[in-house]
Amino acid sequence: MPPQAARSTDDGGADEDAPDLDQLTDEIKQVGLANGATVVGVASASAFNEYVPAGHRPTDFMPGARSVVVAGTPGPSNAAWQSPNRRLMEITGYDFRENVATLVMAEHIETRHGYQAMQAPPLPTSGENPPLSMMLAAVLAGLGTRAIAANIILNPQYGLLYYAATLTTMPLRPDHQLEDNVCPARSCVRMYEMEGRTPCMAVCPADEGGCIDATIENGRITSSFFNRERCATRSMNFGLKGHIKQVELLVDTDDIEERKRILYSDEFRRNLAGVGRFKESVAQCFECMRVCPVGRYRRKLK
Amino acid sequence: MSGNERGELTGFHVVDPDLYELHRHEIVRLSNSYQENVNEFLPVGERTRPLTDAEIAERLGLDIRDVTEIRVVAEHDEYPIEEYERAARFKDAAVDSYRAGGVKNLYKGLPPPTRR
Repeated sequence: MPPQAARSTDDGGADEDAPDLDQLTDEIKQVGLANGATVVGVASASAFNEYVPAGHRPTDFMPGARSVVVAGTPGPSNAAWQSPNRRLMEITGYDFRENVATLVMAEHIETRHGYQAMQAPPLPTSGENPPLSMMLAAVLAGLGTRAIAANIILNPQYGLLYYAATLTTMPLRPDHQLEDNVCPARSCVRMYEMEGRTPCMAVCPADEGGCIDATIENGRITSSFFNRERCATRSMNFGLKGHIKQVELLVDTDDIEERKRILYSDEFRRNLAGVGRFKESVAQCFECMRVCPVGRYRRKLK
Repeated sequence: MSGNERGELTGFHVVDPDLYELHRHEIVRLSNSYQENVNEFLPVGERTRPLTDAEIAERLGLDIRDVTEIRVVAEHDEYPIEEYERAARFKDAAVDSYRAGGVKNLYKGLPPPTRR
């Protein structure tokens, strides 16, 4: 019989030896941290209700879910950001550790504590829309807040992190959402006041063929805009979407030699590699994050 | 909430081309493709969220399978293949600029690297 996350005995009295909610929560977090997660936070499953409609809440995937344990990892190493070859980060760096951590935490919760637990659905099942937002999960678990840059969740310590989550019926102590928005950083506010743009808006401006726009007043974001579809052409430059575009070219081409040139082209191979290896299909544009000051000090190494 | 209501059981459902052309822009506008003011820190009333396929279907009086399929196709249709080539060149320019001057070149108010 696995130990239960209960604080009372069968006769209703207090069990002095039973771990309390704080201890249990810390235990689960330690399992995540020991298995690849850089940060772990907990959100209450019901906290999603304020932000997303039915169909996109934890209980839609696990009836009775009470807690969402979120794991975050940095993806590319600090040195990878300095590489002069931008393709390096397109094919390396994303190692799915956060997914491994959430799977190990789920197994630990089920085998050690007897509660249901499973990995939250991290990828879209219809087009680009996720069934359950890992970004919102990270915000609710107090791991970060949404940036002007592509609505990415910025962790105050690490900046860009990749997130995955475990859904569970186990009651855990939820973390508080961060009290202050990580974005915009102080230096970005200064730049915005001088030039009307933050670094990410300057690199990828929505009104000049990019993806990002926002307004800032008194150091706070007052409006934001993100063109996800243009971002997809950059951040998923090679992979499923690019492959479909090339198939479209192929079916429109009657010339056999032209077809061959498309089929044998470097881009066609890159797209297939992106689909097959999967790593290439996760993120291939880092330019708004490259200039983001949050966590950038960590990239200064010997 | 069933999978059908989430619009995830489309299978090989194919949308009539006229229906697609009639609704593609509206469906993309209402969905998650262009995200305005979704930041959780914005106050209630200013914060917005995109609609689900079920909500769009209800608003436009369409079958949810049609909405899901139109959305998925239209997401691909928003930009042509030329945008993918432009994206690759954008990244080349951006990373070259960063290598040359780091993020400080932006702080000096120089034009962004994509337009030098």
